[in-house]
Amino acid sequence: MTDTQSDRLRLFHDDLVRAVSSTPGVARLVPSYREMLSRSARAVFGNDVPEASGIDIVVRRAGTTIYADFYADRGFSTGTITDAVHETVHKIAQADCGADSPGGLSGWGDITIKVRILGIS
Amino acid sequence: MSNNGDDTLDVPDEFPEDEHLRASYGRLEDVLADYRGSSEPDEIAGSTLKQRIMDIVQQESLRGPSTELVSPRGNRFDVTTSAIRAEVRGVIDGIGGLRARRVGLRCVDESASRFDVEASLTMAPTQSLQRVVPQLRAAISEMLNGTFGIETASIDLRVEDIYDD
Repeated sequence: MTDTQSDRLRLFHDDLVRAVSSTPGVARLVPSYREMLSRSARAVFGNDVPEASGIDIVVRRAGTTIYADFYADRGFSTGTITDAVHETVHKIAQADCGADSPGGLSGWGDITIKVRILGIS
Repeated sequence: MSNNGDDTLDVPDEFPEDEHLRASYGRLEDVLADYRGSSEPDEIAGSTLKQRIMDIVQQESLRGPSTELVSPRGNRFDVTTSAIRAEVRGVIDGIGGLRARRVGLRCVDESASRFDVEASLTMAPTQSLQRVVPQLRAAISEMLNGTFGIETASIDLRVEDIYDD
């Protein structure tokens, strides 16, 4: 992956984190595997991890898989939250594909979204 | 499984039989392949990376299995089974004179998120079994449906003990 493609992936990731974090019913994201691999274990497993991303993006020729792990707010339907997350992710992916993609990564292909709710808070 | 000392960075070749752990390992394998293929500014030693991989594996093990559910629009999603059990326990504990013990879930129809629920509890001697059981069944059913979209096929309640404290 070129630096430009990496930058684009990072921007896509950051957009997803912002959007999913602000989806109604999403209480908080947890550190993604990627974040846990690249940061110190102490920071990852600390009680207060405000910068936790909680989203892994795996891009393959066959398509893109997006993993979102989070805690849900009490009082919300987890299924409704999941549907909202799906809608948000697809909107961002479509907007991103419509933009210029100088890195040559023309699109994210078929997107599979894997939502996992770790608990109700 | 290969074992080349501290520099071994592969996830195990032979995944456990547990479906949940296999899915987690599959994800870890993909993320790890991307991580190793990308140019990280803060490259870390192999032994440190191995430790972090093991941290992820341990964390997944602690989270335990997940239950697959279906959203109103048909999107499949996972909820940790411990989270569902905790909510059922919360309903039981929320009724005066009852204390939750074990909670079990068994999928009856995956496509419809339909489950059998088993819960054991202890009860205060002042509590009326005849009065509380229908109330408890209704409360558990309502919570499972409202929070997780789970339809309860049956709710089996078992009073294991009468407590007096």
